[in-house]
Amino acid sequence: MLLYTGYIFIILSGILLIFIFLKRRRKSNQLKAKRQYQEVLRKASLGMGRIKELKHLLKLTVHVVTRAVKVDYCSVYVWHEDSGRFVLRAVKSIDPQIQFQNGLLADSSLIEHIKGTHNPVYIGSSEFKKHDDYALKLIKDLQLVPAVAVLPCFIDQQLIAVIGLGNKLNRTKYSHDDLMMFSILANQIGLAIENAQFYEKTRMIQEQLIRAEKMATIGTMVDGISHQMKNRLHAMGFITGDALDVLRTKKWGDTPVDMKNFIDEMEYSLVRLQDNIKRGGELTEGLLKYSRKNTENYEHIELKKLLETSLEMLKFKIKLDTVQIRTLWHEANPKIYGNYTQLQEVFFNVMDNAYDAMMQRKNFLNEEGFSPKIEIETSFKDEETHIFFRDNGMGVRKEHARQLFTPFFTTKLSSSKKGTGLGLFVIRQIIERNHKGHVNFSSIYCAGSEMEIVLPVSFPSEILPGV
Amino acid sequence: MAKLLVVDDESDIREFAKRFFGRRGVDVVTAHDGRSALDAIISHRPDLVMLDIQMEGMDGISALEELRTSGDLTKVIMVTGNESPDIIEAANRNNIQAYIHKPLVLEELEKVVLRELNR
Ligand SMILES: Nc1ncnc2c1ncn2[C@@H]1O[C@H](COP(=O)(O)OP(=O)(O)OP(=O)(O)O)[C@@H](O)[C@H]1O
Ligand SMILES: [Mg+2]
Repeated sequence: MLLYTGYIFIILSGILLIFIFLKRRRKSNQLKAKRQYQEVLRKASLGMGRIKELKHLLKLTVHVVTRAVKVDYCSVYVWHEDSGRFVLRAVKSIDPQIQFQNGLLADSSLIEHIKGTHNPVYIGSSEFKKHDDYALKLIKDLQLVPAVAVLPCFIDQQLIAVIGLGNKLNRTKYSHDDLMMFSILANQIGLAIENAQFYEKTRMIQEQLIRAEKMATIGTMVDGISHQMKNRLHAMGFITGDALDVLRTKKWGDTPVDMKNFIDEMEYSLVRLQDNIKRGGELTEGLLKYSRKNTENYEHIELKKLLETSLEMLKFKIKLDTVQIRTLWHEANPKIYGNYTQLQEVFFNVMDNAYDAMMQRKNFLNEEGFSPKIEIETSFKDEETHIFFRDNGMGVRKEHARQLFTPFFTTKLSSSKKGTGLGLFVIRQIIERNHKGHVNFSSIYCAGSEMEIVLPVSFPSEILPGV
Repeated sequence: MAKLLVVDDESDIREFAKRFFGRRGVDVVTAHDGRSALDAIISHRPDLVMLDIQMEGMDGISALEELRTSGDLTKVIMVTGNESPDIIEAANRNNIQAYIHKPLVLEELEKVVLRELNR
């Protein structure tokens, strides 16, 4: 009996030993794996700082994270000023069916929570066990992304990106250590993103400078080119006219009918050609007028006519028929004193901006029943003419308000419609320096903007306008 | 026979002006710049000059000014591209018959030229 008990004891302690041994081994394996992925992440994050192209960097990020941490999916959302949200820039997922949200709004519970705590959010952490309203809201936001954990990338207290993670492939939970490690990684990624963004911005500013320079060169060339064009058109007109004349002055009396038809067709073509030459001439003339900086040419201008011709020109650039334009003319139809071409350019730029802002709102806010509207109002008081342009576009974020008139400041960064950031700067130069007027711009984000232009009705004679 | 002097630095213009007005029984002589125009005015004594403004060599305005200072009152019609107001101003001061804007419609030029030649 005693012997039996002894055996059982030995067997049991053997099993126990084996069990302990196996457990130890599993733990050390786990530790090893962890060390391994931490090492991969560490190395990767070191290399990231060197990547200058944002797209490339983000792709690498999601790739490395999914591989090293072994998760279902990983997504990166980068802050996008223009639309006021974190926009999905890169994602990698084992399950192709998962639909990721395109953007996370700045005022969502999730983002506000992250901004408040500066810490990663993990659905399995203890704070989510409470199931209070706050936790439920966060869980809902996480499920929407979707993400099991979200890591913030902060630079100087600014949340510039967030990284969403799925479940671990081995279905274990994220440990506290994991999350701490991720925090560090996320901030490394944040630095790399900032770095890449900085490079991109510098490159863009350089491009803009070159473009502005090019525009200036083209401007000076336009004069010569349009003169040349005119001479060519002139010669063409001469030759066409002469050919027509030959056809018309010859007596075709007893010519066969089909020959006569042929002559008629030739004549018809030549007349049409002549028409086109004339129109080409008008176009080059317009170009020439526009390019000439006849700054000396200040005159009394009928405001209404000026605005109408500016709208006419604008039609070449944008689809104005998608916009409702309401005009409220002051019944006195005040005249202003100024340079026609320059003021045309001002109104052109103002309307151009309004149009962009409205299209932005249309595309980003996706509101049902939004219809772009511009209101132009003129009024007259104290020897000054006020012109208001109101649009219901995207408006300007508060933090940008002070920079708008700085040369090269632009929020239009997408490749499809890159801005030069010179529009408002030029407006201010023309109105305030050349016309001794004022420019006031006010805006409410996501609601619309108002541009007020004030022009003196007559110029003090001793102040001569500069270039 | 009425005589027309066509002054233009474009040979196409000279050639086709000659053909066109030739068919109307106008004797057309040509010059390619302001200087040769002044010479041609003296040697050919045309009834009318069709004068381009922008030309290689001596331009139309200088030729016109020189012509008028010398006391010559030959009729002149100017052909303008899109000259600035002060150039137009200078032409006006020097007693010209008409302006023709580039690019022209030949029929319009014909009207002006024949009107001036028949005066
Ligand atoms: N009506 C408006 N509504 C909203 N934002 C505006 C408006 N007008 C200007 N802005 C803001 O001001 C910035 C600077 O405008 P500006 O006209 O100087 O340059 P741009 O429009 O970006 O470039 P470009 O004029 O070359 O197209 C714009 O990028 C935009 O953010
Ligand atoms: Mg603009």
